[in-house]
Amino acid sequence: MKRRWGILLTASMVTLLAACGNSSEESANGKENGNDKEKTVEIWSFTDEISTMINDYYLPSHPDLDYKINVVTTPTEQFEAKLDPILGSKDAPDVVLMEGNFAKKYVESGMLTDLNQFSSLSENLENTYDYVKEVGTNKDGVQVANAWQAAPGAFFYRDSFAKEYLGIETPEEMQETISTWDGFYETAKKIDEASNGELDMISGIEDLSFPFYSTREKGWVVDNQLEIDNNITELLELAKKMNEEGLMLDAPPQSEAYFSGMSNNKVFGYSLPTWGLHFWLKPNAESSDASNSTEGDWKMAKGPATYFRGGTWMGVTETSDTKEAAADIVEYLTTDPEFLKQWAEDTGDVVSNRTVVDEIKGGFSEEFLGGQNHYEQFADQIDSIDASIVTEYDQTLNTLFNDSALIPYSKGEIKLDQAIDDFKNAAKNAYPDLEID
Amino acid sequence: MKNDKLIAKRQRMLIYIFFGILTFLSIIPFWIVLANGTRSSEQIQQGISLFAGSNLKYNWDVLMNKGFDIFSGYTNSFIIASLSTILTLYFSSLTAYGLTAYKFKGKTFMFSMIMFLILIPPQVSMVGFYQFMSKLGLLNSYIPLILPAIAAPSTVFFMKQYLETVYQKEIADSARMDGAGEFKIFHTIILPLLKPGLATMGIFSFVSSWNNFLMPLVLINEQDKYTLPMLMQLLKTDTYRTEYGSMYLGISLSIVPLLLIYLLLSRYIIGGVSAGGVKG
Repeated sequence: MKRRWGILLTASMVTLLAACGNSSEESANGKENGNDKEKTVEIWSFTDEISTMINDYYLPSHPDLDYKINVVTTPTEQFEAKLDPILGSKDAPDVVLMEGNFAKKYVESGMLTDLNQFSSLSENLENTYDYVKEVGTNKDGVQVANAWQAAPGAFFYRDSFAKEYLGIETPEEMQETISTWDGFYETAKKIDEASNGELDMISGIEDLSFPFYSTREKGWVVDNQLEIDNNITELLELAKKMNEEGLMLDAPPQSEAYFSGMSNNKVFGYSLPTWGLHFWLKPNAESSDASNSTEGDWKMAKGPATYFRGGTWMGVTETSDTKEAAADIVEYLTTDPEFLKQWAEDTGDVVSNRTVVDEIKGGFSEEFLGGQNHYEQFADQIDSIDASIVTEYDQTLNTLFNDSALIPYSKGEIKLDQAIDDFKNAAKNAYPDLEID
Repeated sequence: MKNDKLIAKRQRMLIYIFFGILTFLSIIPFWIVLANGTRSSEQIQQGISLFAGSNLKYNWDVLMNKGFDIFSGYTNSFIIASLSTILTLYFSSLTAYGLTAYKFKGKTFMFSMIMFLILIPPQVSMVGFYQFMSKLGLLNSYIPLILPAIAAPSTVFFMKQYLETVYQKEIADSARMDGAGEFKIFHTIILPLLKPGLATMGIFSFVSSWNNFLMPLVLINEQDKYTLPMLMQLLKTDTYRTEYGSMYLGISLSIVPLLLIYLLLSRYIIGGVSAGGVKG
C-alpha cells in the first residue's frame, strides 16, 4: 500500500519530466533539420481551402522550394482570439488569412506589409477586381491584402412559383420586377396573396440586410463618427413591414428553419453569394427525409442591390522573416492566371482576376439553376460592387445592429427611436472612442 | 391506516416520476449526440431527431480522411489530462495537509489568498498568459498546459474541507514518535486517508483538462501535437460546409472515455461529494 503510492508518484514525475524534455528537444530539432529546410513559412487560416491550394497546386508547381510551409487552421470563432495577442511579436505567422467580415480590421492594423514592394506581385495586381483591392487597402491607400475570389451576391428564387404566382418566365423579367426595394416588397405581397399566405418571399432578415448594407452612401464609421444612413431606417421599416404582414419566414440566419426552407416550399427566395449557392443552397435543396427536392427549380436574378458577402483575403505580416517567400505564395494564390483558371474550373469559384473571369465566364451552365449561366451573371455584377463603405468596425457593428435594433424592431418589440438608441449604446460600449451623436 | 399507506404510495410514485424525468433530461443530450453521429449534415441542420440515421459510414470516412490521426489526438489528450491531474491532486493535497495539520503565522491569510484565486475567471488571464508563454518560447509545447495544474485553488479548498473531517492529530503524532518524517507521514498516512476525495477531484480535473479546448488551441500550432477537441474543431474549418455528422461522431468518440471513467468511479464520486460537504 505505502509502496504503491511512492512508486506511482515517482513514475509519474519521471514521465512528466520525460514528456517535457521530449517536447523541447523536438521543437529544437524541428527547426534545424525538418526535411533539411531552414525556413518555414507559417500560414494561419480559418479555412482549410488553403491546405488544398498549397498541397495540390502550389507545391506541385514549385518543386524545389528552399522553405517549408506550415498551415495552421483554426475555426473562425477562435481565429481572432488566437491571432490578436500574438500579432506583431516574433511568434506571429508569416501569412494571415482574413475573412471578408474581419479583413478590414487587420488591413487597418498596421501589422501587414505593403504588397506593392514586391515587384512581380505588384505588376500582377493590375488584373484584380477593384473592389477586392479596395477591401485589402488601408486608409493610407497602401494595399496590404489580396483575395483569390470575388463573392458577389444575388437573389435566388423558385422558378415554378414565379411562373405560377407571378406569371414571370425569365430571370430578366424577375429582375425588372425586383430591381427596387419597392418592387421587391410589392412582389412579396403578390406572392403572399396568390399563395394564401403559404409561401414567404424570403427566409429572414439577412436576406434583406446584406444587400441593403451595400446600398448605403457611407459605411458604419466615417472619420471616427458613427453614421446611420437613411438606408438603415429604410431597412428597419421594410423588415418590420414584411414581418408584420407575414412576407418573411423570420427564421434565424443559418438555423434549422432557414435551411429547411430551401426544400420545403415555404420560402420563395434567398439572398446568397457565390459560395452560398454551392455550399448552402445546393446541398439543402433536398429535404432531410428525401421526400422533396427543389433541384433545378431555382433561378437567379441580381436583386435590388449588388453586394458582396465573404471572401478570403491574404496578407504578409510585417514581422515575417520570410517575406519574399510569403509574398510569392500570396502572388501565386491570388493573382496567377493559370492557377486561378484551374481553381475556377475545379471548384466553380468566381475568382478575383478579371482576365481569367472574362475568359471562362461564357462556358458555364448550371443545371441546378435550370441551365442558367450563374458565372456570367455573377461576373457582370462584380464591377458595380462598392467596397468603399467597408470599415474595420463592420463585423462587430453588423452583429450589434442585428441584435439590438433590426431583430427586435422587425418583431415589433420596440419603437424605432429606441431601436436606433439601443444600437448607438451598444456601439458606444463596443467602441468607447467612437463619436456618436 | 390504509389511507396513510395509499398516500405514501402516491408520494413514492410522484417521486419516481419526478426522478424519471430528471434522468431522462440528463440522458437525452448524450443520446442526441450519439444519434447525430449517424445522421447527415443536412439532416442535422434541418432538425433534431432521436432516431439514428444511415450516415455512420460516411461520417466515419470523413473523420478518418480529414488528414489527421484521431488516435494521436487521444494519446495527446491523455498525456496532458493524466499528468495535469496527477500534479493537481498531489500538490493540492500537500497544500491542504499543510493548511490543516500545522499552525503557523499568516495561515488564515494564505488560505484566504488561495480562496481569492477561485474568484478570478480564467479567461481574464488568458491573453496575458499567452503572450507570456510566447516570450518564454514555450509555444508548441505541453508545459504550459501541464505545469499550471500544480496550482488548483478549488481542489485545495475541497481537499482541505475533506481532510478536516478525517484528520486526527493523534495519528500523525504517533507516527512522529516512531520516527517518521513529515513527508513520509503525508505519503503513507494522509494520502490513503484522502482516497475518496482524490477520486472525486481526480475525475473533475481529468474531465476539465480533457475537454479543455481554447488554451491548447491558442498555444499549439503543430498538428501532430493537437489534442482531441482541437482535431474535432478542424472539421469546422471548411468555410462553407461543416460536416456536423462527423463532428458529432467525433464528440461521441471523445466522451466515451469520460463515460467509462464515470461508470467505474461513480461510487467514489458520490461518496466523495457527500463526504466533502459534511464538516465534522
